[in-house]
Amino acid sequence: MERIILEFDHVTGIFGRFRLQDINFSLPAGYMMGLVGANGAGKTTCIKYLMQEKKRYDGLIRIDGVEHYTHGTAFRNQVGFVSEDNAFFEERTGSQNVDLMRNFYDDFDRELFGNAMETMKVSAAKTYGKMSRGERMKFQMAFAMAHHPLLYVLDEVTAGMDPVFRIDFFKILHEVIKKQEAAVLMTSHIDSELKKQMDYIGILEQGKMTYFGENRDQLWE
Amino acid sequence: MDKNERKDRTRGQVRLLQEFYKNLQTWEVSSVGAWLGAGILLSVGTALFWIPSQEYGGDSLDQMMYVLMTYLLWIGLVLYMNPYTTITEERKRKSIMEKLQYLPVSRRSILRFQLKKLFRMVLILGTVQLVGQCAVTAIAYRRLELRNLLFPILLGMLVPGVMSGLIVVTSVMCAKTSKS
Repeated sequence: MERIILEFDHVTGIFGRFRLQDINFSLPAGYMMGLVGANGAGKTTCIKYLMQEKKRYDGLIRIDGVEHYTHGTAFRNQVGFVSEDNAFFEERTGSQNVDLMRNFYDDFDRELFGNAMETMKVSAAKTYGKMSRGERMKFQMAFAMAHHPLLYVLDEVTAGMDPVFRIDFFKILHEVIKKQEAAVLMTSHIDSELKKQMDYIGILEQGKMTYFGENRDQLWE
Repeated sequence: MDKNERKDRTRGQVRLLQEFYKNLQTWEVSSVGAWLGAGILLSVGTALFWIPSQEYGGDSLDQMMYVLMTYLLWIGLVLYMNPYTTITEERKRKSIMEKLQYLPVSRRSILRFQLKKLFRMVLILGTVQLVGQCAVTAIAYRRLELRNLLFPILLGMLVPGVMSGLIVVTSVMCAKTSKS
């Protein structure tokens, strides 16, 4: 039986003026899911529900079968979050940021972080505030990989990455999720990469999920 | 997660926060400035509590004195807590919650850590005020009254402690964290 990493079970909620309605999907281990929709469709709201400490929705969100809200912030050990929203210390280097934050994780592999930074060709000695957007996303990805999450949540990560590296990035991602038996939930405005790289697609329209299923060519026509 | 598990987890996270702040403040120059300012205000405020309360009547000047002493302690405590609640980046003060919001550490743990720091300082200051008040009064007046105890406890500990505590609670629980 497939191991389900992420499950949204009739999730409904109001976030500011926005209403998310009855979101249902299950994402198994080893697969990547693209969350697609126009601006204001609810993609960021889904991610906020996943990452926030307080439960501001009805329904259940489960990570690896466990309702994430009941475990407080412990579930964040299992989530690798990569986003512009994820703030690190701007005046510290990549290494210093790691030294500050790694102890909060149960299992942080410093060597793996170093190797990942080398693979992605970003120097950990560079000040975080001086990194370009693409470099910051790579740093966050390396940081996430180092604490062995079950779920990677990537919010508009590849915007700002050079096109050549983008191909390598997805290769790295596929290898990581197969090796770690993890899953990826990703938002992106770059249709070509969603079309090529995602195993599952969830389409959001005005707070409702109008489609969830395997990635098919017909979706992109 | 049951109540005991949550309690254990909070204690564990408080220990991690101790380590986190120790590393953070090694590099933060503004922490030194804040603690220097806090030291001056808290020293002056505490010293004023050594004046026997018998010296104060009920006139408006004395009442202003009470307010000043309490205010000095309150501002001193706020400055003392600044390095634990905020960080300076690009010459702007930002809430530390912005950096901690997506880490596996709860607001409850952060609040517990910060309030522990605050109340420890309040207790130390209160003890110094109480001992000083009683000692100076005993030497000057050869007697102690109830007000010699209540004066530092209420105005020296309770009022500034509660006021600073409210600021800490607000800074953790109501911090605007997400940029979007």
